[in-house]
Amino acid sequence: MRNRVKGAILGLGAILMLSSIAIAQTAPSQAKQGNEARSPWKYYPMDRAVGDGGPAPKRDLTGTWAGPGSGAAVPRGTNAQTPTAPPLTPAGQQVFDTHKPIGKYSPAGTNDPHTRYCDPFGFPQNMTDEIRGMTITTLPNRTFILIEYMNIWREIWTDGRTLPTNVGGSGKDAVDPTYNGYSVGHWEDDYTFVVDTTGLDPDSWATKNGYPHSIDAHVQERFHRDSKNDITLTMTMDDPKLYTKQFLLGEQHFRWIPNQQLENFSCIPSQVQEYLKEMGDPAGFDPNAPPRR
Amino acid sequence: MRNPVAEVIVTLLAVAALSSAVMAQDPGVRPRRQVQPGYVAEGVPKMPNAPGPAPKQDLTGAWVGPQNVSRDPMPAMTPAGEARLKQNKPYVQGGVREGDVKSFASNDPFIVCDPLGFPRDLLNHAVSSRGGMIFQPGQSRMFIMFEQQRVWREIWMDGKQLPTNVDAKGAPDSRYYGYSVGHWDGDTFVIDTTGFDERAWLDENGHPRSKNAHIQERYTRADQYNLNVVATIDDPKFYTKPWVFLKANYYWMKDQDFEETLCIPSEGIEYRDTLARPSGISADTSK
Amino acid sequence: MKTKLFMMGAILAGLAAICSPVFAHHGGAAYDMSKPVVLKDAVVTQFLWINPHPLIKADFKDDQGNVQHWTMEMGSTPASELIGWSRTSLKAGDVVTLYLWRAKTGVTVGRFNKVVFADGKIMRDTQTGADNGGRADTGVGR
Repeated sequence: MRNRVKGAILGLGAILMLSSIAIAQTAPSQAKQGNEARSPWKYYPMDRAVGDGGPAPKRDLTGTWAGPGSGAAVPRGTNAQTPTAPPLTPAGQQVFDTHKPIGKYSPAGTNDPHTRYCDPFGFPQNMTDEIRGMTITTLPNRTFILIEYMNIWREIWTDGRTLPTNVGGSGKDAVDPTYNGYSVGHWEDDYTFVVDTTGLDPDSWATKNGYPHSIDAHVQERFHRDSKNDITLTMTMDDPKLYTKQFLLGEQHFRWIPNQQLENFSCIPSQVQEYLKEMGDPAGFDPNAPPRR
Repeated sequence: MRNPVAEVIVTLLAVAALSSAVMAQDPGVRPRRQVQPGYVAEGVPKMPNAPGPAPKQDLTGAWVGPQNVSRDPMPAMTPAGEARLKQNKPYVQGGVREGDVKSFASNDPFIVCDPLGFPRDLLNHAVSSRGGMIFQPGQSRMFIMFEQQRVWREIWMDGKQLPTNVDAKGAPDSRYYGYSVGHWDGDTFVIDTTGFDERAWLDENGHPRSKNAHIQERYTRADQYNLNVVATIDDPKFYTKPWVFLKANYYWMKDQDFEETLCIPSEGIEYRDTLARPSGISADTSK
Repeated sequence: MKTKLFMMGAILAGLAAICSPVFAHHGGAAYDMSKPVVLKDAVVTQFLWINPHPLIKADFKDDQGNVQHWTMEMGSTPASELIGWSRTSLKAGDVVTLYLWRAKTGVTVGRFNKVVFADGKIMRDTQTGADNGGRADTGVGR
């Protein structure tokens, strides 16, 4: 009995030690592997930032970053249903019930406009779904987030302006809701950039699982520069029309990409139509099947 | 503006109904409309003060255009170029035939919101909005953020050479916006681009560009508020000679910001299926 | 010996924990994951390197000599690239043996499991590439 416990502890220690050695050592050696000439234009997932790279620079998120699912082995994040599902109001539940997410309904049965048409994710889903890469760059009065998926850019005003209050309303100062909303940002301290967004087009889903948002939803992103090579992004949403309280949209991790190249990755609407015609619709769906992980 | 495609289709129907030749014969040039006082072009407000001199080697900021557009006559195409041009059926052809809407059965991929790609996104001034772009230097690159479809381009300035074997095994993939490098030639910013996904058209008239085409843009800031561009395509697969397909001016955007302009595929498809196909404007490519 | 095997297993388990999927994709809800369909010596007619999922189309001659046209989907292009796929991995004319999870609707479409090339090389799907339909252990971090 005692030997087994000892063995288990030794085993666990071995995992931790060998895993960290494996991760630390694979990056530089795998960067040299392969017989093919490496192109300076391609993203190579095995060419990963080694270690944390040293202390975080102050007030600086600029550069090109690999996110979840990129193959750069970023730390695992969380989504809106961890640990509990977002708390819907009756109005929110009503909207949520009309959404048939792909996880349960498959492409054939879903009404997710992104799956059926390649409609834009919109914000905030474009920062939690397929966020395998992004580039952050700045002007004095605004910060841009250039998202790999769909080649879309967001702008975050840092000139001190406040969020619009009359989105989707009438009156001459009213502005239209948009897929990316209206964003303002500021540095809370030397390592935390806080972004507030509202004015979101309600046609888009807040999450892949079909949680909705209203025009007046207020999403906050907190970008924390943990180190030279790491960013942690935490997102919360307040939407009193649809949710009883603020909830966590998710936490995502990003790592510096050594050669600063992103993958080429988008949905093409005509390709989505071809996919649904050849594959998605004929395959059908079974909403009663247990969801796969 | 959310559905520029629908706007175009509705407007085209209206134009056809009126049966007047409002489209210019030369597809590259828009007819000059009366410009209101306080505007340099339709929808482009004039800055309140006279422009100062151009800052040196600095394009940073938001620009709107293209206006004062012209292009050189297109050189003869190769047989491959002509064949490709014939396949592409734009919804803006060189003139409207009276009462003959069927002549516009279009297979323009932008009808369902497939990416415009480069350089069409530079040229595109769909009926409802002018094209805006923001130049922003940073991290060994020049970034360009486009109003059209909210897409971005990355122009590498670190000395990288353009890729030469796009789509070969192990090589980078062809992509809608290609691969770009840039450098300053005196006061002119020069961008060289290649590696194109051929599905996108060069322009809204259906001219093609091949994967290995080489497109060069030359941006010269004439003064504080005026940016001039000359863009040339060198594409021996489709064109027998290099072709200057764009000469234009971009003007400083007064508000330094623009609307979100996204083509929404579900709306594009709805208009195609309920309006454009039954009207014969859109070719039925499902057959 | 026993300690080594234990440690190996623990290491693999550790890697699997890092590699577990972050997102719940649509996976096999529409597919019969109980046993794969095997298309021996199928001829690839098209390999569409598209999103949301690349498609493999192949013709398969059954025992009666009838030709069946099959279409199967695999993991998205960036996910597939992580495990060695590219747009040139398959091409029209390739003769291969294809394993797939057939749609419950019974049509000749399904989710790709793995391909065995003439030289014996095997390439697998991202999410359903293990022989039991789970994620194949590729040792590649996410």
